Amino acid sequence: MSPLLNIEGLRIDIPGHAGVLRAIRGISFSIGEGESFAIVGESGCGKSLTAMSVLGLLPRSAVLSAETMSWKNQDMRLFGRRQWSHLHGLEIAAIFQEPMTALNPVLPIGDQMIESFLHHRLGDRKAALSRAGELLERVGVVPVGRRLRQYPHEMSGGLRQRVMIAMALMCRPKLMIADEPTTALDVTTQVEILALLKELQADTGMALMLITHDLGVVAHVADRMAVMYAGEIVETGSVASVLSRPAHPYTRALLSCLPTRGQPLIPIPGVVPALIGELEGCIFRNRCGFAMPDCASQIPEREVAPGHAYRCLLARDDTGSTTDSSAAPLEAFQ
Amino acid sequence: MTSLLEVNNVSLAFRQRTGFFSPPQLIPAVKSVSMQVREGEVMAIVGESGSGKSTLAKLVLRLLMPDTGSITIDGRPSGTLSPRDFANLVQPVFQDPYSSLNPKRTLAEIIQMPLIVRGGVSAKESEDRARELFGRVGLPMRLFHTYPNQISGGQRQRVAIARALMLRPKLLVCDEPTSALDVSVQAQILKLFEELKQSFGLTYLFISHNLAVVERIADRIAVMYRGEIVEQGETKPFFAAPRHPYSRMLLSSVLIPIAGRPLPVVSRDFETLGNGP
Repeated sequence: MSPLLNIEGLRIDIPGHAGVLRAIRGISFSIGEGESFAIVGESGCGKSLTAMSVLGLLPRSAVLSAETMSWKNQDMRLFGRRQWSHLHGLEIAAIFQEPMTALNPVLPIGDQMIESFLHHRLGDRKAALSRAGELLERVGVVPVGRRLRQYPHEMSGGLRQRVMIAMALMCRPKLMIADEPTTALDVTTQVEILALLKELQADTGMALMLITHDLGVVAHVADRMAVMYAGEIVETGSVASVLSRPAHPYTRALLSCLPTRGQPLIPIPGVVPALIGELEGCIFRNRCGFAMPDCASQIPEREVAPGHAYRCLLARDDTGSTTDSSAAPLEAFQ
Repeated sequence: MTSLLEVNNVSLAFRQRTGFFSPPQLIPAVKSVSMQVREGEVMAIVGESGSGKSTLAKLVLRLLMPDTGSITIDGRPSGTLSPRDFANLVQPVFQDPYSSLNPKRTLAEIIQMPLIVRGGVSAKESEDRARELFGRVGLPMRLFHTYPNQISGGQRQRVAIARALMLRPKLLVCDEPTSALDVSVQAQILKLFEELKQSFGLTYLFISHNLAVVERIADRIAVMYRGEIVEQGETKPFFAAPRHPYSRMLLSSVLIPIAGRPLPVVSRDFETLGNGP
């Protein structure tokens, strides 16, 4: 079966005063129907930009190129305004990190929810409001009648994110892009929202593209994942395989700086490099405890297991076999 | 050891007007909270939004005044300290490093501001101290004369920390200092807090909604729920066996990066156990 979304060799350049910012450099991934795919990485690694490119919402100055970029086997690069507008909300829906800013503060949430439904001419206002009511009930924003007339400021962050999710589901999308959906929320609310997303996915069979910096969230929600660093995918595979057998030093470092019960907390030294000009070799080498001169050359892709690949000169065993032992060289590097 | 901070039976309720003619409603935010923080200790306050933990921080910072109860800092009632004496003892680090730094001032000016306001030192001394702290919090010197919008979130939080240390306070009140940051940056900042505590002999009141974050840094933990401290204790025994069902729920909500585990169930059964609104 062909995937819903297939992206190969995606590059995004953003021209600026200081030179061309090579924000995304040749990333490939695909999302099948009903699948949960997570992109993990730090701020500035290009994960949100990737999501924006799938939504056709890149900044005007950005220059996109790709070997393949297709939605249901149609070339997305050839889409005009009308096709994008068809895609938005109807086939691909998105929820964002800040439920405070993503909702319009001067419209009751009922009016906001039915907008895309009416835009795509799926029914009249009455049908739209009844669907909005159903969905609010489904996501637990009750009593529906009162909630539909409320404004965003009358709700808590968790409730607003539930409203966002309900709104995204209005037109029964095939893919939901969730960009840091729980980052602004409490740990307890986060668990509730993630559980809701999973349930809804099981109910509707939609695919999920989850963008987050939290590997704990990925572990509980996604099937497959890609770890992004400074505009490249450094490791990809099934969540079970990547988390139990992380191979790339960056993936390991990311795991060991997550505060987890009983594990030591090891920060990654240094910062993400500037992505201006020509970039050669491994992009993580200036922060990597295993860096060697050859890291400046072309890095081959290695396979840990079928479907689980990473880009590094070292074999998995040489990058340390547990998260703990990978910590030592990183510490020494500081 | 003596207590640096003592909070005795402090309560605060916010007054909310529901209508023009109706009497204002009282919304209790902090209810009879008592705790002691010893010198050199890290006390973590953990709870969800709305649990009153930030209100408690504001009370300690004198940004709010309690309705009842008293707060003692370094043996003196906090209310009787002059603003200058208070600032010499207590400094804040807030959650959002994007809104806590003045965008129109350079980092050098931002860091020196507390000292400029307090006075008593020459411009040269003030700049020297700012430069020293700039390095101590791990900021590269070339950023000294840049503006907040030219640096990252993690760097901004380092600036906020350097500013808080300018007056060499004894107590830092940190309200969710890493919640707005990436996990990797969060780890860096937590490590910085640990280092600074050692080298400056600081005491922290550290507020967070994530128990995993405070486990490493805290000596003692207080869990707040609906304005009350429902559990308080040393970090190790607390994590080994949290007693209150709410503490247990908070702890189980921390997501561990191991695939194949079901999401924890957030059960709020205990809300009916008499702790209700």
